[in-house]
Amino acid sequence: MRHEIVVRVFALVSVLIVAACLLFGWAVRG
Amino acid sequence: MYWIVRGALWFGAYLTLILFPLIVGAVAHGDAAGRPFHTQFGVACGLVSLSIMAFQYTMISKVKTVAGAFGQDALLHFHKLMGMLALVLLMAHAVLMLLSGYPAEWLNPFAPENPWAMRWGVIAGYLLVLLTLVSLLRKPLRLSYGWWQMSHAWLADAVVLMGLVHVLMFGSFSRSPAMRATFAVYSVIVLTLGIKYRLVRPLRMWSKPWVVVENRKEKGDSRTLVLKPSGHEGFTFEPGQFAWISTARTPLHKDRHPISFSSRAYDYGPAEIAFTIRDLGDWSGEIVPKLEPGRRVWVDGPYGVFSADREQGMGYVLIGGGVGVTPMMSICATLAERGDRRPVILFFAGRDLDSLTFDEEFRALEKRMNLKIVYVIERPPENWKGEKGYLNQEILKRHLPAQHKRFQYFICGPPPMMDMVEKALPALGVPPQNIHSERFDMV
Repeated sequence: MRHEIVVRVFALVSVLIVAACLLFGWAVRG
Repeated sequence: MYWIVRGALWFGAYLTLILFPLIVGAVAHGDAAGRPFHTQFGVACGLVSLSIMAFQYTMISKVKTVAGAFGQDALLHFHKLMGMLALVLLMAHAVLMLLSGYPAEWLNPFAPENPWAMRWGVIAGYLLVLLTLVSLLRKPLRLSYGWWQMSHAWLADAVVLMGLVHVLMFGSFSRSPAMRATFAVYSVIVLTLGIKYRLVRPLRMWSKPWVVVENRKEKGDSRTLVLKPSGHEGFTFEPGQFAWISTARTPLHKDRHPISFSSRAYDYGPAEIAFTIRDLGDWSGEIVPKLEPGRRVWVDGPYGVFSADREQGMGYVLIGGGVGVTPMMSICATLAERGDRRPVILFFAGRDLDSLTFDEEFRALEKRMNLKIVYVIERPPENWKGEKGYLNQEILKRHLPAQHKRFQYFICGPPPMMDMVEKALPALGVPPQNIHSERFDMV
């Protein structure tokens, strides 16, 4: 079961990381 | 619930560490702000990729509090997924920087006219691709586990170091003192962990060797190594846990193997311990059979949350396939020794009757404890009356007791069997928190 949870947590972490990168790009853009 | 809270806290801390450079960059950007969105997005991808790589080591460094919260096999799985995410982000970084007008010739690390600040980053990128390919293709390429472990560690170190040099020399955001301080602190954390787990802990293990007492052949191409502590008191473990074994000349060598304890856990003080290892080629097939009694080996453990002592229920259902029955032997032997009369059902899956490691030992335990063995044999003999073929939901349903929802379930075996059981048990009404699995087949 833990492995299924790991995959879900990873999916969540990936989405948050990409969102943070997009937000950063938007915040410091010209 | 406690498990979920602890997990959420750890991942919150991890995510904060990974994303912290972006927060610093957004606040203290100096003259780095003002470029187009896709350039800044590309920079963010590169920074986060480096942060992920820098903290990859913490996940596998056997930090006991972290491993204790999730189980080391689950952490290894997460480590692997995060490594691939770091590679994807690095590629996105390269593509977005090229789109921003950086020359494609800079991708050639051998061109002497290219600035070194750039070349370090490009070499780090190629090494990360190599690192990922070597990990994904270890089995098809038949690379030995020991060789892979060593190259993986060195390549990862090189990627992080070169990536850091590239960011500090070339990066526009890294010119700010705040960003430099962030990376300085990160370097100290990573270096401290590296020194602790690669140098201090192996040196401590060096002073606590174990000696082979017996090396016996078992059914199913397996061998049991019985070890005793030499000049120290050893340690106690919980039934179902594992340890890292090294048979190299010193524990400083990277050649270490995660193996489950197959002996019973001692409740009162340490004693001899045993590991049962299936011949899977390289180390297990070539080195293990040659370990004579008296030979010194190194044991780092115990590790793992796959432990019958941590999960109390009205009984246990143990589902083992192949050499995955070894932790089940430790659990059963421990329960028998303690006089525990709770019911235990062992689903014992194997290719044929000759491949069932510990078959006779489990039958002997049937007489000493409340144990029921359900054999599931892929290629049974002609007069076989038991279950045939592969373990499936129907077989599980046929043999589970009426109150099976209140039992604790432990699964260890080949990945396809584990995948099937992890889906079948919830379908049979077993609460997910009662299902515990251990996977070692990570690379």
